[in-house]
Amino acid sequence: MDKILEVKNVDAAYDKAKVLFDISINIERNKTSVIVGKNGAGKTTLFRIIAGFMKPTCGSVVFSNNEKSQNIVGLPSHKISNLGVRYVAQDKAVFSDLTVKENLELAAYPTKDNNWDLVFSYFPKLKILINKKGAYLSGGERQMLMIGRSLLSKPSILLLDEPMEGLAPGIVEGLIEVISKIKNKVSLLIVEQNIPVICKLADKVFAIKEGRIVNEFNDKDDIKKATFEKYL
Amino acid sequence: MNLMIKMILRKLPLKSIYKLGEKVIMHKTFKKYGQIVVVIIIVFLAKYFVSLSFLNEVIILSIFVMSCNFLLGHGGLLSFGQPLYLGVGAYATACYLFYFGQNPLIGIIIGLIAGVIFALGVGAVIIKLRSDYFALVNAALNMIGFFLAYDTFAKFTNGLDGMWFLTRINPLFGIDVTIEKNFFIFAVLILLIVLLLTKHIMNSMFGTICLAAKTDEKKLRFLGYNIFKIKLLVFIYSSLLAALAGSLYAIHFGFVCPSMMEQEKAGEIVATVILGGVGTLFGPLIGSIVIIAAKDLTSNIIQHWEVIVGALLVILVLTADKGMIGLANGVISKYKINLRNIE
Repeated sequence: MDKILEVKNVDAAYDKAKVLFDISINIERNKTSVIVGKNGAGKTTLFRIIAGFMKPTCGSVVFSNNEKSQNIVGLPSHKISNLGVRYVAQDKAVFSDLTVKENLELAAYPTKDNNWDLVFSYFPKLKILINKKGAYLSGGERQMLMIGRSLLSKPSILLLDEPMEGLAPGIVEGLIEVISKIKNKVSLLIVEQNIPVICKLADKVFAIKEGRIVNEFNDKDDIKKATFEKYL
Repeated sequence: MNLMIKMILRKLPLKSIYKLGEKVIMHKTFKKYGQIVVVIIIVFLAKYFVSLSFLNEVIILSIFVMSCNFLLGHGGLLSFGQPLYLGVGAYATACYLFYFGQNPLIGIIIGLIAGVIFALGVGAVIIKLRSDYFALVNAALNMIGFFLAYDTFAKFTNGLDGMWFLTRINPLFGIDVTIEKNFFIFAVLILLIVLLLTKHIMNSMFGTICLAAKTDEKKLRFLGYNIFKIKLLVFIYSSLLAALAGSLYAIHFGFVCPSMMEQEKAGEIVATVILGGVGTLFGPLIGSIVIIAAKDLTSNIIQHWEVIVGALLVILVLTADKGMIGLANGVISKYKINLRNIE
């Protein structure tokens, strides 16, 4: 089993309020793992720790690219991002004063990866919206831009925090299609509460409840049979 | 009244003038640098209408205000200690001209190097601070700078008496820059370079990155950017401009003293930035003209010119988004709409 990310015994707290308890999960390379759980269960906190925006009180996060493995806890977030761990936050917030083109340019600049055709092949609509400012994009268009610009840097793993939240069913279908296309090329860790989406995309599911991993589904058949409602 | 204006506008050959103007303005090259050339020509021609000492003061102040404007407009950092960076440039140039040499160009280069080195050292420590702490720490540093020049290093700086070196300044390529009209040409050239460089930075990828960092640092970190480095570069460029203004001040007056770093000057500069228009290219120049003109004109009427400028500032903040530049842009767009309605 080729692991790309290994979260080991992670605890986290906001001041004195402990929110994560001994979290240990393994994410496999070029597979799609989904974290399912209620609001406030600690899903986004876990993402913030992996992306370097928060330090755990204990534990480690080991990231393995093709060359070496290293504990990324304590590294600044921009360094983690440049290692290939890209975080697409829940807020669907693009740079609203900048155009779609400028948003993509910004994403391409650190790695000099200007393969925009790849982004347009997944999201053709972005080509039409190229000169539109971020402020005037719909929620779905913003999400396309956010995922698109994360793909520009050839990431090793994408962290998608509730990518389908608040989107129209038609847009959700489109995003599922795109994620299905990229899921074999890049490792995905998704926080999701939409059960049909979980069943369609997930190769592995972690159920989180009150800051603890309470169940793990490693098999496609198990995932289809599982009743995720009890974790939501 | 409106009808009368419309009647007058109808009789003028506005359509062709407007179309010609629009053609010129919409041209790529003009859009990029033409405005700067036009502004420089206006500043140059202004010498026939206002005194050279007024214009020289405006140019030096506007370069100084540009430093604060760039820091606030592109770095999102408000500083109440900008006079310190002006003082670093001014005292570095003054020390060279007072103790070591007589070449004004070398004096400016030394001022710029001192500004950059100082900004690197200070910026590396304070740039990580929260914006409110950043503003206050800068104010504190400014006070320290004032007392260093006034007291601690008074042996070298002559304390409040200041350093006088006007007669030591040699001509630059055969031109005596201590003469008001020669200094004016020299200052206009420097202003042109500063405007072109700032415009270039604002239009470059770095300018876009700065704006993005100002909007949301966290989002930029997601994309792999080191916010510390970006802010430090903004801070260094801002300090470079302030040091340049300080060096020009030293050469123009042939004199420096600690009062140029007085704390109240810091508030004045921030007010000028807001008055002109935060983040705009020409805002500092417009703001400087208004501030110096307000000082000159109102000081004969009332004792405290700050009352007039303060009132103007409140009106502008309440009515226009980007100071006087924002106000002018609003008037121009209204005029354009009116013209289209007439057509």
